[in-house]
Amino acid sequence: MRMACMLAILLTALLAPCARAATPPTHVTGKLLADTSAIQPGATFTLAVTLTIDPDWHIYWTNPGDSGTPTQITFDLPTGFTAAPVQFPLPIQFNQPGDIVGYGYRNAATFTARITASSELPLGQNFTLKARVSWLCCKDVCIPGSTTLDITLPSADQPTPANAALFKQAAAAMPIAAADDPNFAGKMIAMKPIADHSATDVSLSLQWKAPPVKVEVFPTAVDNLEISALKISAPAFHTQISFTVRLLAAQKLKSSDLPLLIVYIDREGVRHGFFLAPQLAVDTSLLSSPHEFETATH
Amino acid sequence: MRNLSILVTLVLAAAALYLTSARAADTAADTAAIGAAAPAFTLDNSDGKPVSLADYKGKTVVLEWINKDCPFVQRHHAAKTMENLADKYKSKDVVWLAINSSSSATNDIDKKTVETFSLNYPVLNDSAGSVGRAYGAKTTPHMFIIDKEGKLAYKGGIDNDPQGTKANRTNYVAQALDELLAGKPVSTPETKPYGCSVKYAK
Repeated sequence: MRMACMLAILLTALLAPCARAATPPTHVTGKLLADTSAIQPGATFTLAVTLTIDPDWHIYWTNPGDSGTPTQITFDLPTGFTAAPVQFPLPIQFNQPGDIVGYGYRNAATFTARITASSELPLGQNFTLKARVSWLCCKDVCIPGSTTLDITLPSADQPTPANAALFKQAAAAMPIAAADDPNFAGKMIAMKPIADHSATDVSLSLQWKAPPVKVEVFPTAVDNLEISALKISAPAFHTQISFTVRLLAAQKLKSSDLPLLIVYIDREGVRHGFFLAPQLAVDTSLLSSPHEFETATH
Repeated sequence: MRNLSILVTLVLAAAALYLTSARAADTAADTAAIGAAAPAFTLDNSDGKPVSLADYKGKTVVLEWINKDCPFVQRHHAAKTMENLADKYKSKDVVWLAINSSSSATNDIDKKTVETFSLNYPVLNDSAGSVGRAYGAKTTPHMFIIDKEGKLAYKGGIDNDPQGTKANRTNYVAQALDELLAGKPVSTPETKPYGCSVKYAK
């Protein structure tokens, strides 16, 4: 017995440095927090995953851009709990040599998800909630990383709010619906219909109630469509956004909606963002029919 | 009057500059279009010997953008995705070439890449990035196929599985090579590539 024990210690001592050496630094650390002190049966609360990224390194948004991989978060929850889709905060753009555009985060990013607890939850017990997070972290090289974060909360009838400052800050960094943005006054799209697989110019104009200081556009990932030559006019009551869209050779478009995230900085220096989905004019022969789409997905 | 003529000259110069830059951008976009002539190149292999696209006239050529430090490249080379295809199609007059457009590329690094992955094809040094830019290579890996007539027949990802998690994946390069060798049109000639960004010189 003592022999086996000594052997185990020896093995651990031998293996530990190897195991440590085999794991490269990931440059990202994570934390999982809840906006509540306890879980009330059947109630909805919010979980936040905060990732802290080493200076000069970046991770990616839902649409990583020309390269990279989206950051992924999935939850491992007690029976009867459900999670709404993870909300990604407003990204920033990275421009790399060779016209390579990336969308993501530097320094830190907080992702949130609404969680609904089981209504059958017994009171006075502890429950552990887990978030599995994976990312690609890049600087001069890219390093994939992943971690599982957990938080244990008691179940109680009268929970109190927790981490209020962090959740307030996280909510302020989230995109909202265009209709909910108090400064956005309307949009207009002008383009010739996409009739073939060559580049088509699109002109999108946004109207504001107060001119923003800066406007940015983040296309969400649309299958088979290349968006390039993005230009944004100087801030005014109207922002003129021009870009080209090009269907990949021999491919069709699944939907004429072009979901974009519009980000603007107001005169107080606050960054806001909302989703907008202007409709592209496209020849019906270049749209995959609903039937074809169904066949393709099943 | 003199002021006016200076103004007119300035406006014309600005317009000319704008037109030139717009045309340059158009040309770049057209260069690596499917069905168009693939951009010619001559680059050194890791032994310092020049390799030209023109050397392989009449053959099918596969170009693979590579960077040994990129996890996507490492994943595919651990699985021998590219090597197996290069082997499979070798007897069918298909030439496989890897290109390293990283600003840090050297013949020594390329030699190390060949050794690390036990490649059965050369890695060409494009540290200036001019060939990568001419093809519009954005990621490692980013795949291109040039048909026997020297026209671009495929560009995009190696397969439809960026995360490397699908049980049944479509290898677009194998599919396109099979179609080309059977004399058929390529059914999926362009897809969105995935991987690390090509680390071009600034």
